[in-house]
Amino acid sequence: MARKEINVMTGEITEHADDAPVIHVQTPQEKRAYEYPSIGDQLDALYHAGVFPTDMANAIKAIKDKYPKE
Amino acid sequence: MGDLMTCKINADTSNGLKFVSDTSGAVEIQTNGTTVATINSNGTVVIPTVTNGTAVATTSGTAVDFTSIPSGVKRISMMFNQVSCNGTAPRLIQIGTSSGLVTSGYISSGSHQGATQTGAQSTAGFLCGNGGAVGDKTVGIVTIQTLGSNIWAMQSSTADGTANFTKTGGGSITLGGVLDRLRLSTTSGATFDHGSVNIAWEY
Repeated sequence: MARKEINVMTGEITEHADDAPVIHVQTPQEKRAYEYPSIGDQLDALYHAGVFPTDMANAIKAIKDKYPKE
Repeated sequence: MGDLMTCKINADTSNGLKFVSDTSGAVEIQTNGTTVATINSNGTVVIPTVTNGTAVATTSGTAVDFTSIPSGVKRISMMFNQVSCNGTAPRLIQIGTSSGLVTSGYISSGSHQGATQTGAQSTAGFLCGNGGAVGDKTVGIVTIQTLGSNIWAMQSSTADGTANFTKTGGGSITLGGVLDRLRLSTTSGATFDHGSVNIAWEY
């Protein structure tokens, strides 16, 4: 049975065979967008990979040094 | 409605009316066997304004329909208790009248907030967020309230429970008659596999 119906006045639950219609099938891009790491985590990985321009890397490092991890 | 039976008590005085309980018990007003108001011996007055429906397990099926919602209801809340399905689609709510569910004409959008953020729109129903993962266990509340004239507005604020995401949505629609039903489903027709859901209504 694919659908439950609850009569809120009687509390009776009836099961029906029909399905809820498919309204939208998510695209792979939509599924990816939901599960990608945050932009911050992606940028942090790039920083640690050493691919940022020197001035940007220095600016980031200055902030990391200002608030060191405990 | 038929003739009403009128009960006059001390109706000829302008000094008001006093109900007296000669024991320490509560004073109740009942109709059709149901207590609709209680005055407790400690002075508290209880007039229930929220009525809960019957909680339903969302462990199977692709939709849950709540029907026979009383006329005159002005606000309906849907409470999610770890509602999960085998798809990645967001939760969708449709409302309807005695003529059936309304499946088009909604103005609605939803989004998720967390590590990533995306949004979507739907005309097929009230969208309770956007996106999702198979393991999501939706917790939270969706509220649908009327502006009058069979116009209904919706707001949703839920969380995924097992992931660091919250989901919000909003919408409105004008029905062709009095609301008496609503449906919880997903946009993808996914099958529910965990949790429970219920509604409550207020006049």
